[in-house]
Amino acid sequence: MSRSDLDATTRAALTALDPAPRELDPAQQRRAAATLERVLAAPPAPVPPRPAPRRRTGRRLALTGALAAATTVVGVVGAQVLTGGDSAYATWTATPHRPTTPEQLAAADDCRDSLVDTLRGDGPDPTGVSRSTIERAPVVAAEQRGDWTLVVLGDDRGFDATCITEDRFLGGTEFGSMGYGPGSPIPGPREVAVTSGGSGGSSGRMVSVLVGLVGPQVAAVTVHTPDHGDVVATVAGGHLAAWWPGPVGVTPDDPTLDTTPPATVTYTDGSTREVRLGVGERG
Amino acid sequence: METPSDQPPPGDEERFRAAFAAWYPEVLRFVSRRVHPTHAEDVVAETFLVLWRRVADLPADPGDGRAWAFGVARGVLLNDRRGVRRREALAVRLADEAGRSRPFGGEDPDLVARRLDLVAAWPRLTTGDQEVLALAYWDDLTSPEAASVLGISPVAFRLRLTRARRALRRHLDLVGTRSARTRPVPEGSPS
Repeated sequence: MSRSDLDATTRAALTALDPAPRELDPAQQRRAAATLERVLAAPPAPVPPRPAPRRRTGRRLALTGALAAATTVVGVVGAQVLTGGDSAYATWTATPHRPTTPEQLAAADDCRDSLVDTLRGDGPDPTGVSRSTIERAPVVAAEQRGDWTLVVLGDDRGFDATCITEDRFLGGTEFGSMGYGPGSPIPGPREVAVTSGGSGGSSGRMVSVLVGLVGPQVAAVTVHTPDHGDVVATVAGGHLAAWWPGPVGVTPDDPTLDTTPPATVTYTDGSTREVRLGVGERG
Repeated sequence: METPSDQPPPGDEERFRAAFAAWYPEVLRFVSRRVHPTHAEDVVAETFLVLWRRVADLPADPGDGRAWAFGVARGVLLNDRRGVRRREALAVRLADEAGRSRPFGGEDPDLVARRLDLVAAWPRLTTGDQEVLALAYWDDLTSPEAASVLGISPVAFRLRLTRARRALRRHLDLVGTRSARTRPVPEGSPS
């Protein structure tokens, strides 16, 4: 049982309060049989398309593939916006803030617990990430954009994990990823090294994430996105993090997503330089 | 070979009948947790009508298929409520505690107390929290299956579940503190 699981008494109480009937009574069975015949008598007709699980899996794999092309991260996953459309990101801001509320501050623990749970529940993890790796990894970046909290866990052996959650959680979207990036790049004084990133999601609803390391002379990084203009990255403690709704570049339906968005790096001496922030590349 | 558009390919009916027999009781339970019992069978019938129309998409794996059926049922329920609030998650109801679970001899007093607290705490949860807790503890789904019902990733589902558990604990603490002032202390319990 997971360490974040409910205690046994609460689980038993929950089970006792399940309102669903255990067995169908004879009347329900008769009605079920009648329903079956009525359904089979209905002419097949086109219905509004709704993705079946295997199709979603396909998109998830496609997403993983798109990211894997640029990094060794394997366990990257995305989540679609359930029914909310772009309003899901109504509070998102191009400039980040520090997390302050209890919900936001708890996001790191939630992220760790969820990633550990995923390892346990879903069999051997293809990323090779262990529970202890996740539990030991400190928070290397955290930022707030409206109701959305981004947490990045990382260690000096190239592991990083990213969780994006919506504080209000009204059926919106969460995203998570974890895996090993390309080695443990130590950036030069004026370098930006992106360790993981890409676009994830489905049904044309995507978010893009960039996580990486920066040299001590890098003061700020602004990413130029196709749909949201200039997105100010969080730059602190030698780490870089940013995310925005939509794809990194081009269009959501394009399978060959451009994973090297243009960005402007500002240095501590006030000078600037235009770079492309591709995973595994140094700008 | 092209299949006539108004006639399912041979074998589809057989597959659908098998799926119906396997999933109907579970889909009914899934729906019964989310709507009033008098409405549940109508929703399930509508769900299987959708599944029949998409019989070609029936997943071969039983676990995938069940989760898929749940996902369709959820879509039917959300469609019923569309217009009320676009991003609404599905509220989940509890059994009628007053009508069915009078404490009887030998029942663990802690369990009785926790059940009462749960009845008080549950409505304080967001519908999103209720939904992930129900998927995890009642609908008997694995993380990937529950995630597919919601159309999200397993990691995203785990994130939501972690947060929902914490919210439930918080509300249980609040209602527990309040009810402890009025609840008789079971004999032999530490005060």
